[in-house]
Amino acid sequence: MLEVEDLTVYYYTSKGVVRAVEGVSFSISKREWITFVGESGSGKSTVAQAVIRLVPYPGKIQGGKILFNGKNILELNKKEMRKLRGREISMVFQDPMTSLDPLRKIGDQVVEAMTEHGVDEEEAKKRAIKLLKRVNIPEDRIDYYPHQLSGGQRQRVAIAIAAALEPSLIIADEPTTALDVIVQESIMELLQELKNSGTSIMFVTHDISLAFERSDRIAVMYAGKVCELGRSEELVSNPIHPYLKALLDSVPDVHSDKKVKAIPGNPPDLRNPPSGCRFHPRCPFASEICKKEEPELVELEKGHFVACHEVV
Amino acid sequence: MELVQVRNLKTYFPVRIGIIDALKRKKLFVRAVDGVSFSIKRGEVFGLIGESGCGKTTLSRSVLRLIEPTEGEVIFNGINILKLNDEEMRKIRKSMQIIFQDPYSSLNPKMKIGEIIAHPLIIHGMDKKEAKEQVLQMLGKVGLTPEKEFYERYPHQLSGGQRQRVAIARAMVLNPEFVVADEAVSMIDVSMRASIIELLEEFRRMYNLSMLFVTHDIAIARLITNRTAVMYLGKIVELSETKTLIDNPLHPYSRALINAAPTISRKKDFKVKIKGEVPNAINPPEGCRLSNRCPFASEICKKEEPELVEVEKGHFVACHMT
Repeated sequence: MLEVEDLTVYYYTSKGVVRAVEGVSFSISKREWITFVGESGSGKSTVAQAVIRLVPYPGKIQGGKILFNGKNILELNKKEMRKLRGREISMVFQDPMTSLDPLRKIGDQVVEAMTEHGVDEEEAKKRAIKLLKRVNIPEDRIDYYPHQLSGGQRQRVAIAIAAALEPSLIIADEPTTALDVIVQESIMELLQELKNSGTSIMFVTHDISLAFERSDRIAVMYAGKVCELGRSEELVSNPIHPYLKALLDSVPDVHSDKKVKAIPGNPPDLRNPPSGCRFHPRCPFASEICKKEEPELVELEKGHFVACHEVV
Repeated sequence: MELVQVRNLKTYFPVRIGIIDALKRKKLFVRAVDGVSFSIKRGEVFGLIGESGCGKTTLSRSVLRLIEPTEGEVIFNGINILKLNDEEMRKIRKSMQIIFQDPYSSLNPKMKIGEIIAHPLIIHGMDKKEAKEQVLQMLGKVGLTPEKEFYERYPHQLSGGQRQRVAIARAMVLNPEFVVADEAVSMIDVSMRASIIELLEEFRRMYNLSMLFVTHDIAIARLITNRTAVMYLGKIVELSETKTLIDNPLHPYSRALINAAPTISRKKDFKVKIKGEVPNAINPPEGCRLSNRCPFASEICKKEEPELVEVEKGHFVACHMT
């Protein structure tokens, strides 16, 4: 349904060009949940924003193709793009306060998401009540303003808006990072229900455990590139890329007594990324070739892709 | 050997009210911490977990008297510190320090790293030369080497993990017996957290340090704490050895909380659930504070507040149903 080929996004800052995302390719099928995992600055959010063409200034989509049902959305004009957003692809942001209008009632905002795309007012109102009910917002709250709701409820309203026109893809960029675990669970369940009813989910998080629990596939990003991609159980039980291995070793787990180990060093400055493999300065297995040549993302086993010279 | 004993501690915040209520002499309070008791042994890391608004941060501040508690006792080394005057309190503060969550706002951007860490020493009367000597040593201990270079740097030149090391150095330089760490690793990138935890653990071992470790992340609590208390709406609902608490939580709230924590080490039971969200601490539910959300609540839960009872050795639960 969605195919991304060789996506490259740069940020033109006053301090230099940040090569935030370079040569990222992946696809999402119908009714699939794919999660992008990475640390701050790995480019995971930028990929998500690029798919719906909302990369903020001074970012620019430098190259690549984003084929949505066979059509390259990077070639659409503004009007066509506006038609696509919300109807075909919609987005849920980390902080619902930035996407909800603080001065308007939540019911009206859900209605507007539909009337904007040509649904008539009466019909939209009926559907808004149903939608809010579906995300567990009681009917008597329809006239509330965003500030009268808790963080979790606001995020549910944002999801109701994103789901209003039954898009084929919902992109959720760290939608639970600001929330407590019990509320996080309820948001994840809501996304799962949307997936079960036929929507594809592109989820972005820094938490690999959270990624593992719900996704069909996981893409691990490091310094602007996908370093490993595959089925979520496969990636967690049989990680191959040294970065993913180190990442899994560095996070504690609530149900395990394993010792954790920090990854030595820091992520690189993407204004001037390392030559060759971007992980080589921190990689315990790096050899000469890693410093010179950039590894390609190769399919090692069926559906399990890795970009590493040492294992290919 | 208990270093810190907290007895029936209450911290209430007055709520601003309208003139009518004021005339009726009605007073409203947020009961952020409402009758909490526990103790921390020497060399022990005591965890405090719970969701936002449960009172864990207020409690940790109250224990250090950074927020003035309303009622109760905090006994440190045999002395009830809530009875001390300012001068006596300042002296005892040397032995009780805090590490804050946000290493971006807790360090003065205009001071050099060296000055930040030396500041507490100078306040407590050390001369500058000796302080510098100690600071350089401390920089080495927290892994900010070469020490002399880091001494001269400013906070903005450091990464989040390095800043948190500075905050730890500042807390440790006075050689305290007790440290509160309030979400000390929450704002640091996941791959760096382990090294900060390791550093805290090292200090604990070397100096037989006691710690109150406040976190919302149960996986981190498992990693560093010996015992843990779960808080809900200003009260402790369960307290036990951390491993026991996670493997065998008894209170419905602890069960929901632990079950909701994402994990890669087992298939999750998506069924244990608590409905809705945390109610307002101005007007908490009658009886057990979880009664309006608890799937197991019966009549008694709505009327009587459950006491924290020892159900197995060292495992305390406040629930009528267990």
